[in-house]
Amino acid sequence: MQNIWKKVGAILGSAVMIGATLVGAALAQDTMDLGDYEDLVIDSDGNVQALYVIGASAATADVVGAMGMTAWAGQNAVTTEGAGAGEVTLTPIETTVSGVERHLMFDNVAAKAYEFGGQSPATDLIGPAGWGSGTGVVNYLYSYNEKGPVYFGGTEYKWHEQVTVTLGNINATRDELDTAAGDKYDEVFLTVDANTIEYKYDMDTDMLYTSFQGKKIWFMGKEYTVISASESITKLGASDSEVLLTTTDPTTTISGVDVKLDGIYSTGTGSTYKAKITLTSGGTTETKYVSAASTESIAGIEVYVKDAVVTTTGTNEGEAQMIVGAGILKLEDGSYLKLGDGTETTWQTQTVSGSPTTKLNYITVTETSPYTTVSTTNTVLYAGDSITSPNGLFGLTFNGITDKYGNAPTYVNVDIMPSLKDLNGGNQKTIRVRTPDADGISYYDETGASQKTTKELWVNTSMGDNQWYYRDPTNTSRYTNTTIPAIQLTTANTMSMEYTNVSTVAGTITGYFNIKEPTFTRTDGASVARNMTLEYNASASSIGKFEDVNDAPTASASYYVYYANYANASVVTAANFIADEYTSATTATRDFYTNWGCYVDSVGSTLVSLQCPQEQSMGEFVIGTQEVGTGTAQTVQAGETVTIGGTKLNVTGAIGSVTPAGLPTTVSKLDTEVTSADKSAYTLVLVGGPLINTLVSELQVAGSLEKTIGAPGGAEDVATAGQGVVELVADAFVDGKYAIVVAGSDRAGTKAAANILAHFDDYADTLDDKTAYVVG
Amino acid sequence: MEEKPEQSKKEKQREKLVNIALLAILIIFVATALYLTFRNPSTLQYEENIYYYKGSAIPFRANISDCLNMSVSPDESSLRNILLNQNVDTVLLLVNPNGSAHEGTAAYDIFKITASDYFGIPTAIAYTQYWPEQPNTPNTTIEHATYTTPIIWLRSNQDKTLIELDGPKIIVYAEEDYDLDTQACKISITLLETIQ
Repeated sequence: MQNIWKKVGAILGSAVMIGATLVGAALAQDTMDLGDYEDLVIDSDGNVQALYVIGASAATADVVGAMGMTAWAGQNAVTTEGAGAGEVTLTPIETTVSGVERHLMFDNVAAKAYEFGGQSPATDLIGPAGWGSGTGVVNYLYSYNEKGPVYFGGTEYKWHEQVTVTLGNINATRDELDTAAGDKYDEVFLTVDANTIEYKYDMDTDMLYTSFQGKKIWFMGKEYTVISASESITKLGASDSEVLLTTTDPTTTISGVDVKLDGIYSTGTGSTYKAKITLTSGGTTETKYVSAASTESIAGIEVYVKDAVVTTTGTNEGEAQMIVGAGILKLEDGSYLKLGDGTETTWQTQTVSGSPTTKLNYITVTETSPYTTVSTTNTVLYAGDSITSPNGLFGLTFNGITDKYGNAPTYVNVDIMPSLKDLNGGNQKTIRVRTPDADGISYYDETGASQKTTKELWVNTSMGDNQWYYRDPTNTSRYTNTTIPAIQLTTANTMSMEYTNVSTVAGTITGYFNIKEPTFTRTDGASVARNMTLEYNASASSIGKFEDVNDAPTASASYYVYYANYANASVVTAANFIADEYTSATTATRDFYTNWGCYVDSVGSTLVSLQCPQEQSMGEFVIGTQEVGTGTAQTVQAGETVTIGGTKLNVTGAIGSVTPAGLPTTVSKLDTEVTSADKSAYTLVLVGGPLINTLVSELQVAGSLEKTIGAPGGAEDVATAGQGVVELVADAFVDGKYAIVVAGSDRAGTKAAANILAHFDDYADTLDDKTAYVVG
Repeated sequence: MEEKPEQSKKEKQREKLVNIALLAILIIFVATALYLTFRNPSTLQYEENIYYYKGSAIPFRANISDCLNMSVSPDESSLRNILLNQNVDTVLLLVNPNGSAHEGTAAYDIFKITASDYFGIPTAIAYTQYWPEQPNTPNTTIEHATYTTPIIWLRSNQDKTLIELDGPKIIVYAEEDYDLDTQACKISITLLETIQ
């Protein structure tokens, strides 16, 4: 027995020792400083384990000031649940078009769209199969093929829907509508004339108006019951707006209108009944009796009773099927389409009868509003704008500038500037051309046989025409003459450059620098390549200037950068100027788009910067619908090539099994929302001083803060305007859990402290071994 | 000296059992102590406000079910089309700098998704008025929204709760502070649901 107790004692003693060791280990693990901020806010699994606490009495701006801090934590979280080690999954975000997509050269109508290859069709058509061709076949417009013919008296009446767009009425134009010359050509928008988009409900077999009543039809892609039909007005009740009321369950509310069925009554003629209906709308209550298959206006709201029946013989108990207000569509010939809530649209209805005129041939609904001005009404379509059908089913959307394939343009930046350069013969007055982002200039080296590329070339303006120089890549202090320089947008698309001198006489060196855009085919079939000219005066300063000096070709023009070849006198006009030396009449310099799509980013006497697209820019629009979604995801490893959206991508770099989370796992709470469980689970990052954040106040009152915080001028440690502190508090609210105080003497101080943690990577060494860091 | 009496077979067996029991107790104690010392405390304190997506548990300030019940006028696809359009240069979150902390925390629930590595949409805060303490924060109005710079305007203390789209203007109306949280969450989840 004694042996047993000895053993128990030994066991307990061991347990105590082990426990002490573990406690020690735990303590050692938790002894941290501000340099361990990343470990404090992100756990070993890469999850964010910090809770950012804002004072409930803080202002919005205070929260904004701390956002960078929370964003840092989110960006540094990692996940091991991504693709397998060494793999990434690429998911393209794509826009899916249901309808037709067209690409227009600038200043051209849609009839000349790139897709038509020189042809000029008058219209585009979208509709169901059989009435839309190619991509014009859509699944939200119907015909008798999809929804069945309309039957009456044993006869089939075929029908279809379609949307027709008049292409000559749509133009992707470089802005010509602003009144000031300086505002023109600075943007690209779509003008759409009135009566361009027409929806049509077409009876392939004409049908008597009277036969339509009560029939279900599909109109603008939606199912309706024909309430009534005539040459002058047709009323449709939306099937999805039908409601059934019974005398046992008599009330409902539709779009804010209270509807009550007060009984079913005989009309006195056979088995036809009428419903007693009470409507309350906008404070007005009215009761009326409405016979089955008829409409009435009650309290200003139209009600169609499709059917009314008595369910208990000899009583007024029964049920009524009806459509109220917003579900009723009125198509009044010659009038603007009205929605069910009474809103009048700009789409005009036309009903066309057949032969005889008691038959319906078709109904059209046409957008009558033009989109042709830059004023506040009837505004042109800017990128992203749409003209939408009254029920939102389809529309015409301008997507902005793309290349002819529908891709966002890739731009090559081109800088052109006067320069003083030693080209192996002392400093020379030159014009320097560079493509700063890549070796985008092609040239032939001194052998003339080998085409190379470089980032920059110089043209010596004192030696006559086209004396171009490149820096020898094998001997960078040597410059050699070259020929045929060009901005290489792509292999096929180049912009040639030339310098033509006017005078090489020392002291009066002047000339023209011309840059020619790639050749493209105009809509009339002609091939053109447009030019931009910079006038140059070497004598204007120590390095030369772009300025009006030659007064040619138009003597009165003061332009020194213009969108024309200097040799073509007739086209140097106010429309083409890009920089004008004298500001008396117009803006001196302006944003400018060229026909190719180059954008003049900045222009001045010492620098002209262009952004030139690799492919000719076009205005893209869609007729139909488009929705952003995802394409097919592909998983690749480093070194593999994948094709996404027609573009081949080579995935390079190191891909590990631990990847940035990509999606943030940070959350914030107000101090009033923090619970005991939060204090036990999280590292609390407390933002704001004791007057703003009650938890910081709690720590300060408890004497837990190394640096006390007070208003400017006070006796506390942090009490100067703009001064802030980041402090790590161990065992702040719960043993074993830290809090980080991010506060200041005032708002600026708190923001300064937050900025430290928002840029922790830059401050990690500074914060190492510290538990409090004062800033400011 | 008196000799120790020999232990009987029974006593030896009993002692053996006691040894085994005591050893087991010690092992259990050590294992428990190790677990209690080194375990990671649960970080999932809010099951209801966690949106699980692509291996990430994304916490929001509002209950996810409340977020999903929020509506977008005219519809969610229009919201996606505006914010995920390839023409977008920057999305601005427009707030009143002198508003409540709630407006700021709601703005963050949107910012953290749009600006995440997943979407990479350049997102910035703008104020409805000049704020001298943050002079570098731009101030603007909703009328300056364009399709290349759409604006999300967070408005609290309104008479309705709705996310309303008017071209590139996205106006978030909230009657109560919590409504602002649910609206912000709704916008973020609507974007996340774009990607399957």
